[in-house]
Amino acid sequence: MKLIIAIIRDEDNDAVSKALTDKEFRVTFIASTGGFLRSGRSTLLVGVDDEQVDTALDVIRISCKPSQQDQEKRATIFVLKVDQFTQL
Amino acid sequence: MVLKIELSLGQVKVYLYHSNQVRRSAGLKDLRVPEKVTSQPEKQNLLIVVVQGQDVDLAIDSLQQEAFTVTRLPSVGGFLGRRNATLMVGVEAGTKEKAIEILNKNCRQRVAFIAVPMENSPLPMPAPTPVTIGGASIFSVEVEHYEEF
Repeated sequence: MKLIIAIIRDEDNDAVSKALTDKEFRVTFIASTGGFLRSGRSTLLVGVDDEQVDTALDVIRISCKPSQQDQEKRATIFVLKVDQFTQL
Repeated sequence: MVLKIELSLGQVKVYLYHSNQVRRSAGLKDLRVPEKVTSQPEKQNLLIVVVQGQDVDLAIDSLQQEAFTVTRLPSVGGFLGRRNATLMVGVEAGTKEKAIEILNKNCRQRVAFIAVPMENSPLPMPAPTPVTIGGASIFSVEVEHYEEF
């Protein structure tokens, strides 16, 4: 089990969340701020099985629209190992 | 072969200087090596930091001054129900201590008073009780994969 923490731009949030849920990933969304100008960022928490990490990352990569300004980061992604996962 | 490693902000440059003279004297053919190998540093740890509301702005500013990337999530503490902020900081190997030091400098512990009903009192009387709050709670998590685009 892996936890993907994806920090994306607010405007990509809908597209990414939808694309992920369509592929039956479960997504938790947290509103956050960050970056240079404290711009709006969305943090997505996605729990995935080990073998599905690449699929999920591809979905995120594809559904983030190319950025208008150069230099602007579209997404920052951390993949963490999950020691234990329980769903009640 | 001479290896020269140059550290600059956000990038590690590795230059390979190959001395073919040495190889020739050993009767070996000259080697062709790429002159410049550039590699992107891996972010190896994710710090999840819970900071008091009063300290957040200062903490974020000083982290950003040292070129750390910070994402801020608003959160609420469990015990007092006070607002605080959860920061996610990606750190490269070796700079973790620096980040923790910055947080240490900017996040202070404070004493707050909460009202606790007095025991053995006929009327519900609140007694001010001191509790220590704040500082920063830092969780460091190993990152298996990092990317930004």
